[in-house]
Amino acid sequence: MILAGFARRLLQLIPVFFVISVVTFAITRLTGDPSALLLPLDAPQEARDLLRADLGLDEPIWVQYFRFMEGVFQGDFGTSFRYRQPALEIVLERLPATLELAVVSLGIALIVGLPVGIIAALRHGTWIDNAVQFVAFVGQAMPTFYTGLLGLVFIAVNVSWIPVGGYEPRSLRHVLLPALTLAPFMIAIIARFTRSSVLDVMGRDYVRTARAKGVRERRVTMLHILRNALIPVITIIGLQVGALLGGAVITEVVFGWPGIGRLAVTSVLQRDFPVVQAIVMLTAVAFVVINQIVDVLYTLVDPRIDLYGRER
Amino acid sequence: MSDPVLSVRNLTTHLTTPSGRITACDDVSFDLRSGEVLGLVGESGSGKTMTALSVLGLLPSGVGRVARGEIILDGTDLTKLSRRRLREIRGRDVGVVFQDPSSSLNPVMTVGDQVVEALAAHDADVSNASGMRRAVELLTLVGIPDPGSRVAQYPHEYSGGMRQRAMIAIAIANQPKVLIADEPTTALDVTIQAQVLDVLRAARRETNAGVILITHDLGIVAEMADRVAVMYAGRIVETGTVRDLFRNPSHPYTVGLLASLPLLSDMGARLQPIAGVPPSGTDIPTGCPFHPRCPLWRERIDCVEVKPPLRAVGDGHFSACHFLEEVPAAGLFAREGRT
Repeated sequence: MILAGFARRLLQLIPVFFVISVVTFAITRLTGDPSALLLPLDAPQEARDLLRADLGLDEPIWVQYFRFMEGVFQGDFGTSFRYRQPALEIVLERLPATLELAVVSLGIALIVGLPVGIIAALRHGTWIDNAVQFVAFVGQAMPTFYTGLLGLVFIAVNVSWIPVGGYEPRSLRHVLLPALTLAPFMIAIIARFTRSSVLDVMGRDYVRTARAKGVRERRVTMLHILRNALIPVITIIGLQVGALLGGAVITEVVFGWPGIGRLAVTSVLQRDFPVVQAIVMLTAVAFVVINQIVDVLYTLVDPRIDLYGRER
Repeated sequence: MSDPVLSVRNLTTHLTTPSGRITACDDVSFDLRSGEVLGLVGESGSGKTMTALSVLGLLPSGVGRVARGEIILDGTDLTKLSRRRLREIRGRDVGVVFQDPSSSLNPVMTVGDQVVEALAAHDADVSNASGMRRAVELLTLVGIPDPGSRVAQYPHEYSGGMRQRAMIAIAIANQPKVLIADEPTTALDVTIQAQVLDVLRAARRETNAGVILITHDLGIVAEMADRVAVMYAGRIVETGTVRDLFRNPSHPYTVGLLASLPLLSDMGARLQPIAGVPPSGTDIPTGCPFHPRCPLWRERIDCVEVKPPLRAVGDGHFSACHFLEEVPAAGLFAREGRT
């Protein structure tokens, strides 16, 4: 039943994807003429016309759009202007690197952020809480390019087994520094949000009821406080995952990480329309699907939420 | 008369707030016997709830503290117990029903699980199956229809009145000696209030617990309580049987409370409020805390300088007023004539 509801909600998203496709398509075309970048500056006009005809850019824009959408429905996002390869293939090639970075950095963020937020709340008003709040504030305010450079200068240079950049599949020493660069911001967000959520639940009447029943303090914390407090944290985590799947542009550039973020930047600069379109569309899909998963998770952990009007 | 099951002696509770220290309960003493209902009456902020939380050892941590006094439950002084021992007593010997049933139950746990939790907290032998059987019994006792299937439902599937019934079931799960009901009907529809009061009566019969009924509703007191303690600014200002208080109120504040009650026989007459506002926690008047609002004061120095002790008016009837002899004759808060 949950699956049927899930599918129904995905269908409702078709208009969203339609709008995204129109907007991306229009905006990429506003960046200018790709042939200006693909050919030498002194190339004759005939060569340019030939290339534009070859790339399909000589047709009216609405014809181009319908060509593009026709392909999308068949899983074809067009051919990269630059690499002469299917755009989808190029994007999917970069996906593992992005996924790896996303999983490791999110893992670090959760392992650190959740407990830190919880402890700060349980010890609210103490120096521990104040310290956490201060560090989280700094962590959230620090730009990624700066944390990345700090990591390079202080860790990569001094620790011999950590490289300053580059990528090898499933290599911890390669992913560590980029992940540690991405993590502080997420740790800060997760810790702050967890703290305020736990703090909120701690003051609820039902927590007092649990204590009035004589329930052991540990059980009060685990079952009554944390169980309720972590429900809204799922949303924040979902948003982070969505953002991560779009690629961590700055981190990937700083560490020469061959992920989707870096691909997006180079493709935009080179006016490689099909690749840009593929990235934007896929990222949008990922974002929306993750939000749907978050909604489904909500129905599983919170009995009050009934997204799909299930029969009672 | 039997020995009291709960005996509170000179309880003084302090709250530390950003704006200073508040004396939430000031020298509060009362006795509670098994099967008896003691009404604890007063305006918001008069210390009723803080008295209850002191007994439960549930004062907000880091803020509230019992500064002085004894809370003797069945011969044990609760103020001297470790937190662990106090936890063992909470929910087993003292049950509590809070004001707002819609926020007092955990939204992500079934009602049955929350009843079982109360049982299991005090008896390691309670299994899920035996606990659930007992939970169904308890829900039946408090009048929840179809308890067999209701036990597996979540609080949001219950109506407000049913949630409060469930709270009562939790409160009496372990046959407590003392049952504290803190404004148990305030958050409910008027039509539901009477039903919940009936359930409370049944719960008292079932457990023979002494009940502390905290309320600001004198109508409920008249209907439910055997004895009453009236609180003002953290102090008990008058205590006696319900009959004593309604027939022969001996503190100007009690007189004022009664005069502010709407009566059917006085239809059309204006209600007579007590002039002024209750004192806030950090700014309690010296001497008798009621003197600035008291029609008997008439600038007499005693009222400003001396805290009036409780003095006997009759058998078991006490009033903390320097001039309680003047109370009955004074016609303090005469109702205005019919208009």
